[in-house]
Amino acid sequence: MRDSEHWQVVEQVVSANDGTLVGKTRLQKTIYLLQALGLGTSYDFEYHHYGPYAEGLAEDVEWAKFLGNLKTKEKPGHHQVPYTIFETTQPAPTVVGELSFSNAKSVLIRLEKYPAVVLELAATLHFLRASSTTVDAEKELKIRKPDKAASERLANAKSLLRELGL
Amino acid sequence: MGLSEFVFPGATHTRFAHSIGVFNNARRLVDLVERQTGKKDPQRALETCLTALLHDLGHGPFSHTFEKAQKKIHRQKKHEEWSADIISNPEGEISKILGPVLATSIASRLKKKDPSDIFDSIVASQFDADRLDYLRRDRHATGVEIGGVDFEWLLDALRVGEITVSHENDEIYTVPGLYLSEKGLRAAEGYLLARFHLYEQVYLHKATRCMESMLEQLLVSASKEVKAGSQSCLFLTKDSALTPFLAGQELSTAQYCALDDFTLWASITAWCSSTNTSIAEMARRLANRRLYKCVDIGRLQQRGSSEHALMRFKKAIREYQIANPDHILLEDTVALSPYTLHGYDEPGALQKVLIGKDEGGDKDPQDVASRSTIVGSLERVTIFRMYVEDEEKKCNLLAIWEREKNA
Repeated sequence: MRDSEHWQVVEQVVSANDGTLVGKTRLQKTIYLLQALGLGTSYDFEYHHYGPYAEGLAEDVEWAKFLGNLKTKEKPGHHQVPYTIFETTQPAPTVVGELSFSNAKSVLIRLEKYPAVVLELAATLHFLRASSTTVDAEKELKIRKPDKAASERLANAKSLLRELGL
Repeated sequence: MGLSEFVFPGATHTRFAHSIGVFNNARRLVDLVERQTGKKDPQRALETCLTALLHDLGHGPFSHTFEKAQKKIHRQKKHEEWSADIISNPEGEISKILGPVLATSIASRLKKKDPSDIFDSIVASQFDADRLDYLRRDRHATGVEIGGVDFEWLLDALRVGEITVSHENDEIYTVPGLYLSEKGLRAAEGYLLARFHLYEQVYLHKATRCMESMLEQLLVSASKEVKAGSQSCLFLTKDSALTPFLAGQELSTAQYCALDDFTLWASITAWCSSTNTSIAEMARRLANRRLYKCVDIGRLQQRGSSEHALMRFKKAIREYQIANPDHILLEDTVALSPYTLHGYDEPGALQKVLIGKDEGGDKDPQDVASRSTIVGSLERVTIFRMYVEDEEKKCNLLAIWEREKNA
């Protein structure tokens, strides 16, 4: 069976984000970027449709719902396409994984300023840069996501990575 | 179809035959797009048909089973990336035939995740050339009677238009895409039900999935031996194609291409005599189709149990595994929905089947689930199974489930 030791960290991230985080993509990319910044989790991210994705993280959401106080609800979005909202009533933690609350919070505030698609681009670019088989990460990103990586979004994604020091 | 032939003896058709079928579908879809848009683009048309023909080149032996095993051994590229690498490899035969410009363009198309133009939708969308082939081909080869697709009617009802996509309600944009006109509604219902039934009855058949899990376990065990330097028990020759894979090395395109079903079966046969008794036992089980016993919790759960029963069971199984470290428990989880088999991907417009309105110029196609009560009532099914060595261990797990389901 897979280890689920990080489910508390998932809940801590949502809690530190004022108790709410909107969208599975945002959750995955937020934790991907926080992991790169020293969150202390060891999720094995792999490339999916919306960029780096960890199956273990999706499983830990289920564990956090079962063992912790995390709740999810689905809301109908555009054309009734549902999206997921993660919520917890857990009070703000003193630490978020191995990050101090203030460090994690400053990252989360930055991430909340950007739409999920920019987070997706930033995480994907970082993921491709770290891949031993990718020669030119930006070029590869434009090949994989030609429309999403339109100039302004890509510029925002690169600026976000710079702000985060990644 | 990977190991499906051990359940459906007729399912021995090849990836090559499927690729030819996809190529043929792509030609028909290109023709449809050209007729509807009134525009011809011979270069994109050629590129699209060739992308369809070559899309599956990067699959390893036994397809997805191998991909799952390689994830545990050493993260390698996914099959789409391998396909792209094989096609664009300047030393490879394909690039020499197509020329580097066309080969690189096709490779890029295979790696794209969102369509840029309508031709991309022919290669990857709800009605792509791939799906329209494998659903019909696999049904025919397996001999199952459910899962029929009214192919000609679907094709006749397909329309080209702009599809609105929303990403988690965050940003709304449009992409060129395929949808069905009003008259395709019933065919769309049939198409979605066909996919749902074929996945549940054929692709995710418990015996097939059990064999896949056993093969994955065998490869991971063999890899541990190679990584520990004790591969002598595997009888691998010095130049065996399997050695670098099992050693967890970054594979070159040539090394990856050398891996095929025959290489793997030859090794499994040899491993039946391995001095590592657990590897020998698993290899003999696979060679003789002596399957593990299946505990189908997902199915049991659907008969009524509390919301958290599955999580309680998983927790209890973890404790059972700690208490019984020598028991091999193979876990199999799949979330099955009529729209997408990716648990993660949001059901955005690209994963939806859309129906246009005859009145109003088909400008804003609607999700088929809002037009069809049959499709609207289809629910996501979670398959959760455990495979164990014998009847006694199966009874142990069933007893745990009985204890936990109403705890």
